[in-house]
Amino acid sequence: MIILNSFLMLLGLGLMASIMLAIASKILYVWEDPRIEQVEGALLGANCGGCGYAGCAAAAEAVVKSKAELDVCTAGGFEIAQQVAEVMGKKVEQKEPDFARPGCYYGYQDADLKFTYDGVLDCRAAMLLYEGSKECHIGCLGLRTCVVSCPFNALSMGENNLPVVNLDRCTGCGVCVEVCPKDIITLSSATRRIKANQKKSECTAPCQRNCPAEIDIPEYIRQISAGNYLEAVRVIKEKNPFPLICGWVCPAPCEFECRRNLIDEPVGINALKKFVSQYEMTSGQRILPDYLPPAKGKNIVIVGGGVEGLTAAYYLRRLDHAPKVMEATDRLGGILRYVITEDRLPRNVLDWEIDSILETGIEAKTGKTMGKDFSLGSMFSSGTDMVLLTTGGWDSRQILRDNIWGENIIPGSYLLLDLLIAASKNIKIDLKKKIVIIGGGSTSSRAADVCLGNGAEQVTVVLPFTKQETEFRNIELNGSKKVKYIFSATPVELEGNGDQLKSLSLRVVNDEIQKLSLDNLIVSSGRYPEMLIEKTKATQWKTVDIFKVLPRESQVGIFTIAETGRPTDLAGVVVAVGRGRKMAKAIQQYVSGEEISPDAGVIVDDKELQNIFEIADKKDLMASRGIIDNRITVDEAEARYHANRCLNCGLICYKKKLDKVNKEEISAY
Amino acid sequence: MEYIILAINAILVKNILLAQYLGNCPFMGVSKKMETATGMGMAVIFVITFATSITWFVYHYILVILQIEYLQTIVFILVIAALVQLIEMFLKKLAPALYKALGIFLPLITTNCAILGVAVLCINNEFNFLQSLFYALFSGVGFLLALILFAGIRGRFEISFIPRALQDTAIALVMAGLMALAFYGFLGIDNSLQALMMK
Repeated sequence: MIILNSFLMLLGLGLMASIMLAIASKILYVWEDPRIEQVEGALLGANCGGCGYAGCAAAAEAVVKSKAELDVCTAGGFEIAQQVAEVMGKKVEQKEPDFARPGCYYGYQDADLKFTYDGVLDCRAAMLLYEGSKECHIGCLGLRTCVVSCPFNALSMGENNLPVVNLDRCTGCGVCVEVCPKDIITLSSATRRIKANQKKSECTAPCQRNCPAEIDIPEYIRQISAGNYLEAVRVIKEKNPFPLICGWVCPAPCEFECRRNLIDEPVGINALKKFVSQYEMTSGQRILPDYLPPAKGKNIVIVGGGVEGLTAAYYLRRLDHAPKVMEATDRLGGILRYVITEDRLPRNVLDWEIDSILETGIEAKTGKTMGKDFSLGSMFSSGTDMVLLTTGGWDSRQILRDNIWGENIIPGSYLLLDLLIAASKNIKIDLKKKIVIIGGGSTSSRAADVCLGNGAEQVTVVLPFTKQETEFRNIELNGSKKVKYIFSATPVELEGNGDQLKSLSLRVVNDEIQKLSLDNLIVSSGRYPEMLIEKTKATQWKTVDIFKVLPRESQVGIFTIAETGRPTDLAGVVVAVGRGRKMAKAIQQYVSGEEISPDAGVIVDDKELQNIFEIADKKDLMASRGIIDNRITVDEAEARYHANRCLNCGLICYKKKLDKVNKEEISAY
Repeated sequence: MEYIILAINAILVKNILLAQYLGNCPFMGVSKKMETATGMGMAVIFVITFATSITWFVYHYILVILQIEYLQTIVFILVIAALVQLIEMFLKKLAPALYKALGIFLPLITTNCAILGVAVLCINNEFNFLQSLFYALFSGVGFLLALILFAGIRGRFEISFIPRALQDTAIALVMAGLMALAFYGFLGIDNSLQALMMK
């Protein structure tokens, strides 16, 4: 009886449960996209969170619901993205991979310490005690927090208590970046380095901080002393596409800040650059960008084939745009070719480096003058998206040719200087009715007279200072009723249609924007500043203020006057190189929809050179240096010797023990 | 009063993990992170209460009447497994948010000895329905408490020096033993609690 009871009971219970579950599964059925599981299977499964989703399952769901891109898995890279794309039946393009890059060069055994730390072995914990034991506020604490956190075992602790990245394993997921309390590890790729500005939170040597082009000098010297000359060239070319030219003509501000100055004399930083780039040229192996994305960005015409224009073109091409260079003279090179003498800069060097730039697929046309052979209107009606003016460091285009009246780089606009010269030479000046003059003190008053004498009906003068200031500066104002003054105003945007000016926007008191319509524009600077002009629709265009990318200059507007010390002052090739790269960065920011703005914590003009307290008192030891003769060329042995003289400085740390051999060598040298 | 004593008993004195050593598998498995530990603990509270109330009825109204109490274990496993499945489906359909929070833990619990253990204990202790319900609920709370405590301690393992041979589960087992010893101290109040119950 009990056996039967048991048997029936279990049978009944089992049956009941199964029937209930079967019914429930019908009623309570929830449809789930089967692709979610497939995509999750394709993902790495490390649940590292590098994509920003809570684990791989959440990321897979986001992909299937089209909330995330196919390459959501930053850690998996292209391979995983392809597998995801296969599941989704779509195609994905390869992107440049990121790698973790620790930015500290001296472990705690070599660095100056505030105290000896003996506590919980975690950087985050150590950080709570006076921000860690190192004197340097951005120094690696070396307590392995990043090593432990890496989901792919790509990090290990090196001999000098600094993390070492295994590039084969690093997936660029960014977990170590998140976890580092000192923000020392960053994600790095050539693209990121090209777009980067030097920040206060980075360990940079004094030489590097004083370089206008922000070249990673310690890194290339390390490469030279290791004998990797071409790798050194690659490091330089991330910031400067003209290493050999700079090797010949650069005033080398880096060498003035070299800490070796305090012992004997600076490392020949520029001579080293010259050596490696000469090595590149004689070896004939051109160092081109290791990765060139397909040119699917904007069609950008760069007007002016000088250093600045070519640098901007090089980096725009590297950042996936299709730049085209238009040069008014017969050959590319600008001031380098037409002003600097041949004994200071051999022309084969110039041609070699310009060819390196053109070889990345940049089209260049020479002998085409803007305003004569082509104009904004003609460019915008033939497929150009943006025009970048880098017409260069000529003080006046009059240097190039005599009679340039009527060649308007910006349609309907003239330089005030050219206007006055034309007036004095009695050249026919044809102006329309509404004229705006920007800046120019007393000369603007004279220019207003010229305009009124040549058919203008109304002249508006825009001055950057207040009315009281004009009295103080003894600026003579034009008394005519047809002349109107706007004080304390900054031009921020110029709009036009084809070859016709439409309006000029001014930022006046209280940050209000005032719009003036105009036919002609007179600019009181010696030359046109760099300017980005963007096509809005059909043939209409407007200017974009790219100077905002430079900290401190965010208020200067578009017609910043080309004076010394201002953004467009190009005192040396290396300054123009730095500016060219920053303009490429600004354009990239603008195109990708970000606001053009400097990165937070960027080092500005006063580079905050940080010298060490021990040698701070020895300032008078600074050897005065004679004129740098860049024509000196060093051979390989000398280059290695110079590279080894480098103290491998960081922000605070430096190589304190000079090798014995090195000291003997110095006295022997 | 009776229920308060029951609660103290279930949470501390006879903590299901540390005094009765039931459910050690999730105790080791999901205690690495505080987040998963809380999730698991919540899921256990949820399931343990449901399961015990159902098994109480099954025992008293089916097994006892049919006089086949010896089938207790197998029947309870069957009932609990089916119940968890059903709960999972319910949650997925009706409370997706709750499902997201507890979902991945539910299948883990299906054949967990802690659940079965509490169901059996309630029968062995001859609790009435309400007592069973409360005992199960507080056992779950005890489970959550132990799990959270353990996860907190395990978090510290990450930043401590641990000999290579003892790393991970090994040191966790040692730690669990020490915690059990600590909870063993609560046994001292067991007798006085019993006396209170008698009153």
